[in-house]
Order: sequence, then C-alpha cells, then structure tokens
Amino acid sequence: MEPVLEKAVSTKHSPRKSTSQSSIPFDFLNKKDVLENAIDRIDSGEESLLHHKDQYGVSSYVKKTLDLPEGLILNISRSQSTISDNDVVRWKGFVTEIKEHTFTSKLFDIDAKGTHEIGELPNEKIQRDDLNLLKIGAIFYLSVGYFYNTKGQVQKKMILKFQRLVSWSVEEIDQAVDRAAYLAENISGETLEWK
Amino acid sequence: MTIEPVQYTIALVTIGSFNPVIISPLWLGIKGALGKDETESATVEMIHRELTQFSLSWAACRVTPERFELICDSIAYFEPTKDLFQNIFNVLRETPVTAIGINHVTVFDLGDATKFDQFGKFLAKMDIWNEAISNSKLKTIEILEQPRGDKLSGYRNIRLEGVSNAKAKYGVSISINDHFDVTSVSDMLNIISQNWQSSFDKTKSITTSLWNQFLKRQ
Repeated sequence: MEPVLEKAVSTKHSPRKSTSQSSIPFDFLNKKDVLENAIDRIDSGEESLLHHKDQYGVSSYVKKTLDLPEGLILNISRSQSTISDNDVVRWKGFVTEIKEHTFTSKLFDIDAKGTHEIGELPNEKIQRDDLNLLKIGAIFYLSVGYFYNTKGQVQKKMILKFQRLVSWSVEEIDQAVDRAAYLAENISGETLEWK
Repeated sequence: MTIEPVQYTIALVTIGSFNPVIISPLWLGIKGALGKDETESATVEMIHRELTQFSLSWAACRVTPERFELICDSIAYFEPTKDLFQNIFNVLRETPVTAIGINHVTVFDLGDATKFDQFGKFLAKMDIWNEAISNSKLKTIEILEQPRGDKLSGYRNIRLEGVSNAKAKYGVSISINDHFDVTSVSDMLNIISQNWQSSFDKTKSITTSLWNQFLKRQ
C-alpha cells in the first residue's frame, strides 16, 4: 500500500462551496483515522459509492458517505482518478459584438465537434497584451478547467488568449496588390506568363 | 474505467537550415507574433549563432542551425503555439525545411506498482530474457508506422517509457512523433493546417486503443 495520506490525498474545499467555508470546522482534517478510513474504503474498491466527478472531472468524496461535517467536500486526488489536462474545456471563439464591459462571441468546442454556443465574456478577462486585438471578427481561445501550476498544485483557471497573426509588410501588400491587378488585367482567357 | 493523461505536452519540431540568431522574443515582438508583455517577460537563456533558447510563460523555443522546436505543456496554449509557429514561418518563408513533426507527449498514471508491472508485461514478453539474464525489466519500447496509414509522406513513431514524477508516480509516457516529410515552408504550413486536429485525434485513438486493450486483459 502506498503512503496514501501524503502522496495521494489532498484536502480542500470545493470551489463551489466557498461561501460556507467559514462555518466548517477544520480540526477534523487532522484526524487521520477519518481520512484513513475514507482511503481504505476507496482502496478496497468502494469508490463507486464515494466517487463524484464535477463538471470539470474533479473527483470528490462527499460528507454523507464519509460522515464528515455538513457541507464539506474532500477533493481526494487518488491516483486512479487524478485531475488531468483533459479536465479542461477549450473553445475557439469569434468576437461578434463588443460592449463597454463585455464582448459577445460564437464559441466552438475545440475537442468536441458540434454546434456553436454564444457566450458573453467580461473584458477584464482579456490579457493586457491582447486588449488591442479585441475587434469584431477577432479569434480567441478560451480554456476553462483545472490546471497544474509549476509546483504540481491544481488551480481552477479561465485562460483567454487572442489569436495573433503576423501582419504583412507594406512591400508584401504592394506586391500582392500588383499581382492581383496583373491577374485582373490578364483574365481574358489567354495564356498567362508569370513575371 | 478510463485512463486520462495527467500531463500533455506538444512539440512542433522542424528540420531544416535555420539561423538561430534571428529568432528571438524581441524579433517576434517586432513582427507582432508576441504581445509587448509577452516579449518583455520572456526568459532568454541564450541567443547565439549555434543555439537560441528562450521561454515564454506558455511555451519554450529552441533553435539550432539544423532544428527548430516549439514546445508547450499547457493544453490551453496548444492553439496559440500552433499560431506562433505559423507566424514565425510565415515570415521566414524562404527557410529550407525537410520535415515537420507534430509531437505529442502524454503521461498516464497507473496508480500502483502492480498495475505498472502488469502494463509492462502487456507490452512485451519479458520471460524470453529469463534464461539469459536475471531481473529483466522493460524500459522503453518503440513502434514505427511507416508508411503512414493516411498515405502522407513520413512516418509515425510511438515510444513508451516508464516515468515517475510529481504527477505520476507510476507513470507511462507515450510519445507520438507525427512526422511529415515536406519540401518547403509553404508545404509545411499546409501540412500543419490540414493535419493539426487529425494529429490530436489520432493520438487520442492510439492511446485509447492501447488502454482499452490493457484494461480488457485485467
């Protein structure tokens, strides 16, 4: 058996329960027997009774089964149900409307093909670098989920990044315009000769 | 039971003839491929005619005269990594290139030593070694698909290796090198545009198939 308490278990309150955190007694977290009991039950294959996955795929073990204080959720990252990079939902979005504090967009799920969704996002989520890219038709990538930081800890994040396309130089644009003009003049059906 | 990767890294690697000194965060900023903050916060490790190496908060770049690599280990930035790669080579249009690899490195956690060993036995018959050596262990295994199933010029190389890190104590790294032969930058950019998503889909199907077969034999 692995040293589960140290390696496999992290305890924290679910982000969704944050409003009730202040009323939850934290001492029980030091009660190893409660946690060990929970872990034993998980290890003995009873995880289906305890297991709960939220919308981002984060595994949780709920108070009722473990007989812990009301409202508490233990996020136990067991090795069989670790949080993965797949617990991130990614969209490619196109800006359709810009308001004072928000912008509206069509969002397409990158990993699951399907119809688009309409989403309104706050401008404050745009990175400072990308603010000048906010235009009608601009493309951006939106990712929401749980990410590992550099220390291996898991954080819930929303990452919004606008697409950057290297713009053409004046010379390149001039060349393209000249070539388009040349093609337009010579579109009579006769053989074209490239300059 | 499904097994999902606890770690996913993408690396765009191209082989050709490069001038490492050109490709720097400052140059990328001037060209508009990076924002001002990204440019200024980039960590430059070296800019030299033999090697340029720098990292952004979401990607790392390494260039030698023969090889260009752009690496990202956060799924949220895989698409921006592709954009950055395309932006760089949209500017360096005349660069001679011969190959592009869309390389996927996924790490899965098997949870315990027993399952890890079972997976090793699932991959290769180790008992054939027992007569000649003692304590034989499987370290890595590589599988080559050539010609490619999709008929494109190139190959697909799959390498499995045992790993242990903070995210996976009993981990298996599956590296899939989706390699395409190319004749020019234009060809390379077309290959990326047309095969980017399918490369991810194929990676998913390879790993899913492997895990499904392993789990069925448990």
